[in-house]
Amino acid sequence: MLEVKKLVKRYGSKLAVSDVSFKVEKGEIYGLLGPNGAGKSSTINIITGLIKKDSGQVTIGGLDLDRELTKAKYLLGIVPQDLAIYNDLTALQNVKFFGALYGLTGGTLQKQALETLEFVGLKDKARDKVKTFSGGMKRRLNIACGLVHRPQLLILDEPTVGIDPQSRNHIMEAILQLNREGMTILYTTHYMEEAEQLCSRIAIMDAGQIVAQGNLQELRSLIEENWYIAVKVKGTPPVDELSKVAGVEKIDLNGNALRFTCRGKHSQLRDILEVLSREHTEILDLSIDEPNLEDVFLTLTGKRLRD
Amino acid sequence: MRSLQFLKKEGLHSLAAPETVLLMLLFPLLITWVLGTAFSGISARTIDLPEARMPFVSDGGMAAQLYQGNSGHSGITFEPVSREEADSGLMDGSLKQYVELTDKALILHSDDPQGMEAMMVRMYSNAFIQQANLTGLALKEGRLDLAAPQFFEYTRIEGMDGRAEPSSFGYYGVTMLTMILMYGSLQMLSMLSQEKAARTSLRLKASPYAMGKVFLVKTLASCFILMVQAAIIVLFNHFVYGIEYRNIGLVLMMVVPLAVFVTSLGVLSYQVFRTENAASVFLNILTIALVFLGGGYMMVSLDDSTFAALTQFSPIGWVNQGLFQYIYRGSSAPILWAGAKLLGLGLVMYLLAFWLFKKEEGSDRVAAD
Amino acid sequence: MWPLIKNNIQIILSRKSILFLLLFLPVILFSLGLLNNSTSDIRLRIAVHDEDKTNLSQSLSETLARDGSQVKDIAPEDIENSLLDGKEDAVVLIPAGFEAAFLRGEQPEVTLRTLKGQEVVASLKASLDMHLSALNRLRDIRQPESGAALVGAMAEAEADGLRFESRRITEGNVSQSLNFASGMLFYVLTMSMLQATALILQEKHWNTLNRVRQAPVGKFTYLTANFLTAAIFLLANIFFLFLLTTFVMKVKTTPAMYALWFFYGIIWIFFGIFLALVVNSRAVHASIVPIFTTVFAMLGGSFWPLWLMPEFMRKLAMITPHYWANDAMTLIQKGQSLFAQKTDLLALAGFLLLFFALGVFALRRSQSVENFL
Repeated sequence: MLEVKKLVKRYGSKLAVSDVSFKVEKGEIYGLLGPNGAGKSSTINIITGLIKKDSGQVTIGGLDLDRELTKAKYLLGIVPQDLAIYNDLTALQNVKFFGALYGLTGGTLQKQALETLEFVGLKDKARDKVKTFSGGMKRRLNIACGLVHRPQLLILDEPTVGIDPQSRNHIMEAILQLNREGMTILYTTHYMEEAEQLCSRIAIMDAGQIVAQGNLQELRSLIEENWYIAVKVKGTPPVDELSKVAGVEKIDLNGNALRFTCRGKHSQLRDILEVLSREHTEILDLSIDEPNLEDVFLTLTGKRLRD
Repeated sequence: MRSLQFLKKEGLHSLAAPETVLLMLLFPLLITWVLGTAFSGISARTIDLPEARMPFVSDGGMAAQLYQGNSGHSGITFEPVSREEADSGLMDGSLKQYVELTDKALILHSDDPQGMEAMMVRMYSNAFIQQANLTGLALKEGRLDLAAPQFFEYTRIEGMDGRAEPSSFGYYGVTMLTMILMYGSLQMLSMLSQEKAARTSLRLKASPYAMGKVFLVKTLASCFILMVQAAIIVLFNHFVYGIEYRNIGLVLMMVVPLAVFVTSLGVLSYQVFRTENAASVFLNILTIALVFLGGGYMMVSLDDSTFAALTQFSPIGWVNQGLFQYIYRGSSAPILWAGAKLLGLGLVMYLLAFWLFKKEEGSDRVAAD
Repeated sequence: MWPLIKNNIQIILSRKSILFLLLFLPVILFSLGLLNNSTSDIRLRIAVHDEDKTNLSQSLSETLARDGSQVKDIAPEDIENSLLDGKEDAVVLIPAGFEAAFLRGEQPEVTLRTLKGQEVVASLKASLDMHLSALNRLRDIRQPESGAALVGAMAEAEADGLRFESRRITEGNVSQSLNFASGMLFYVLTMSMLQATALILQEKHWNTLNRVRQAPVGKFTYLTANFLTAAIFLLANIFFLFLLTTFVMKVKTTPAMYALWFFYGIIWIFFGIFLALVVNSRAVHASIVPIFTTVFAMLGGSFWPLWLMPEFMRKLAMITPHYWANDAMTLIQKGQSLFAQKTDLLALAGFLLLFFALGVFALRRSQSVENFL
C-alpha cells in the first residue's frame, strides 16, 4: 500500500530524515515508534505531500508521489497531531466539509458523515458546536475528519497525546475496528504500549533513521540475549549487594520495585533470591519479563523513548 | 461541488459570529450619520450661516438699540450682557467672544477673528458704523432731515444652478461605503489566517483540493460577503437616510471591482507578511491612508482640482470620484475606467500571491504553517 | 503585583503591532497634527467685474475687502465657470455708468451673482446695500460733484467717527495646530488605552488566564496590574510627547497640558478594563472599539471645530469625554490653569467615576472564576 525508499530530508544542515525505507502492506497497522525529534513527523509530512523530500521515492497504492500526487491524496486520510478542526462550526459541518474536499457530495456525503460520527461516538453531538466539546471529544472529531471519505491508507500522527485514558481506549478500539474492516493504517507514536497493542509491524526511528523494524517478536529477538526480572520487596532493597550479582547488566529502581536486566546465563534469578534472603528482605512480588519495545529502543540507541 | 461546499463553510464562519458582523455594519452607518449631520451645514460649495448669537456689552443708549435692532437681516442676534457677566463667562469658558459698543468704537473681543461669526459681525458692524457716522455728520451740518439712517436696495441677487453636488449625507453615503469595503482586506486576511490558527491549513494542503482553488474560493467568499455588507449599507442609507444613488443595482455592480481589489490585497499581504499581526498593521495603515487620500473623511467639491490630484493616488479615490460622477453628473465613464484599473490591479496581486504560494509549496514553511 | 506587570510589559514588548499602537502612533499623529497650519479662515472669495471703473465703483471693492473677503477682478467670460468650479463664492457686477447714475440721485443696480443656496450671500447683499445707502445719504448731505469727492467725504466722516476694532481676549495665542494635534492625541489615546487593556482578552484566548487565576492572585490584584501596565505606557507616551514638543517641534506646552493628557488617558484605561470584562471575544472587542474611538472623536470635536456642526450635535457632543478634553485644551492655551476649568474638570472626573463604577460592577458580576474567564 505504501512504499518508502531511501527517503532523505534536510532542514538546513540538520538531517531530519536519513535514508529511511519501509513498506506498509495492505491491511496492516504499521507503527512508527520513536521519541520527539526522531523524524516521524517529517516522514509523515513527506508522505502526505506537505513538504518536499530531498531524495528518495514514495509510492501510495502504486502511485508515485512525484508524478501523481493529487491522485494519491484521494487514497490518504490524515489525523494530524494538533487538532485541525473548526471550533465555530458543528461536528457535522466539520466532517462534511472535509469529506467534500475529497469529492464526496450530496446524500453520500451526508450518510458517510453521520456514519463516521457514529463510529467515533459523536453522533449525538453532530449538531453541537465544537467549541463546547471536551478535549477527548475534539480528538475523536479530529479522527472523524480524516476518516469520512473512507481512505485506503489512514495516517495517524500521535492521535492520543494529552487525552484521558477512556478516550484513548476508545480511539484505539476504533483503529482496530477500522483495520478489521480492511483499512491500512500508518500509526506514529512515542507510547510503546500503543505500538505493542495496535501494530502488526513497527519501525523504530531515532535521529532520522530507522534503527530497527519488524513485528514485535522480531524486534524482541534483536535483544534476545536480554531478559528481565521484576521484583517488588518490602522496605528498602539492598541495591549495592544486588548489583554484585554476576550477569545482571542493569538494575532499574523505582521505590521498592526493581527491574533487573539480565544477559546470558539464567542463574541470576537464584543469585538474586539468595542475596535478598541473606539481607532478610521480604519479597512481595516476582515475575520474569520479556523485553518490551522500550528495552529494544534502549538497547539499540542507548536512550529511553521518553527522554 | 467542492468549491460550493467551501463557499458554504466560509459563509457558516461568518454567521457563527453574528454580533461581529452586526457591529461591522453599525460602524459605517454610525459614521455616515455623524459626518452627514455634522457637515449638513456645509456642502462642498456653499456655506450655510450658523445661528450667530453674540453677547453685547453697551450702555443701552440709542446707538446700542439701533445696532441691536437692525441686525436681524444680517443673521445675528445680539444678547445684552453686563461687563461682569462677559468677563466671568470668558473666564469659565461659557463665552467665547462678545461685542462691545463704546463712545468711540465697536470692539469685537474674540480669539477667533477669522471665524464665521466674527466675519458676520465685522460686515454688519462696518455698515452700521458708516450709518452712525453719517448721522453724526448730518447733525453737525444741521441736516436733521438726513439724520435718520436710510436703507435702500441697490443689490440684486442672481442665483444660478450649480453643477450637481452631493449633500453631506450623499457624500459620506459613498465614501463610508468604499471605506468599509476597503476594510474587506482585513476580513480576507482573517479568513486566511483562521485556517492557520485552527491548524486546518494542514488538512487543506494534504487534501486533493488544490491550494490555488482554496485561494480562489476564499477570495470569492470574501467578495460575496463584502457585497452583501455593501448592499445592506446602501439600502439602509437609501431608505433611512434618504441618500440617492441614482440606480442602486448599478452602483453595487460598480463596487464589485473594488471588492475584488481589496480581497486580493488581503491575500497578497498574507503571503508577504506571513503573520496576521504584521499584515494587519500594514493593512490598517494603508486603509487609513487610501481612504484619506481618496477624500473619504473631508468633504471636498467634485470639481476641486486638489481633490482630483490627490485621488489619482488612491484606488478608493478612483471609486469615490467615479461614483460621484455617475450619481450626480450621470457620467459612467470614470467609474468604469476605475473598475477596469481595480480589476487589473486585483488580478496582478492575486497572481503575485499565488506565485509566492507556489514558490514555497512543499517547503518547510508550509509544514510549519 | 510586580510579576504580573512585568509579564504584561514583556508580552506587549514582544508584539510589535501593539507596541506601535501604544508608543509610536500617538506621537506620530500628534506630530502630524502639529504640522497642520490651517486656521478657521472663512473668508469669502468674491470676484468683481467693474465696467464702471470709477472711484465709487472702486470703493465697493474696498468695502468688501475691509469686511474681510478676498477680492479680485474677473473677466466676464470667466464668471460662470468660476462659480461652477467653486473658485469664487460670489461675483459682483458693477455696470458702466454706475457712478454717474448714483451722483444723479438714481438707484443704479449692482448684481450679485452666486450659486443658488449660498446663504452667506444674504449678509453680503445687506453689507453692500448698507454701504451704498450710506453713500446715498452722504451724497444728499454734501452734494459732491464727483465720485472722488463723495468717497473722500466718507473717509473724512469715518476718520472722526465710530470705528471698528478687533481685540484678542487672552494674551496667549491659541494655536490651532496644537489644538488639532491634541484632538488627534485624544483620538489615538482612546484607541491605545483600549488596546492595552485588551490584554485581558488575549490571556483568555491563550488560556493563560486560567493559570493566573489558579495561582493565589485575586481578581482585583490582576486588574490593578493591568491598569498599572496601561498607565506605564501612558506615561511613556507623555514623556515622548514632552521630548517631541521640547526638542524636536519646539512647541510651547505647559504642565497643565501634560496633566490633562494623562488624566484623559486614565479615563479610558478604566473604560478599557470594563470593556474587557464584559466582552466575550476579541472579535467583538475589535468591532466595538472603532465606535468609541473614531465616532466619539468625530462627535467630540477632535477632527474639526464644533461650530461646524448643527446645534443639537454640539449638545450631543457633550456625552463624549473628547468634547470636554478639547475644550479644556483650548482654555489651557488661553492661559487658564487646569484647576480653574471647573466645568471641564468636573465632566472629565464624572466620566472617570462612571467608568470606574462600571468596571467595579462588571467585576462583581463575574463572581465565579468561570464568568471571569
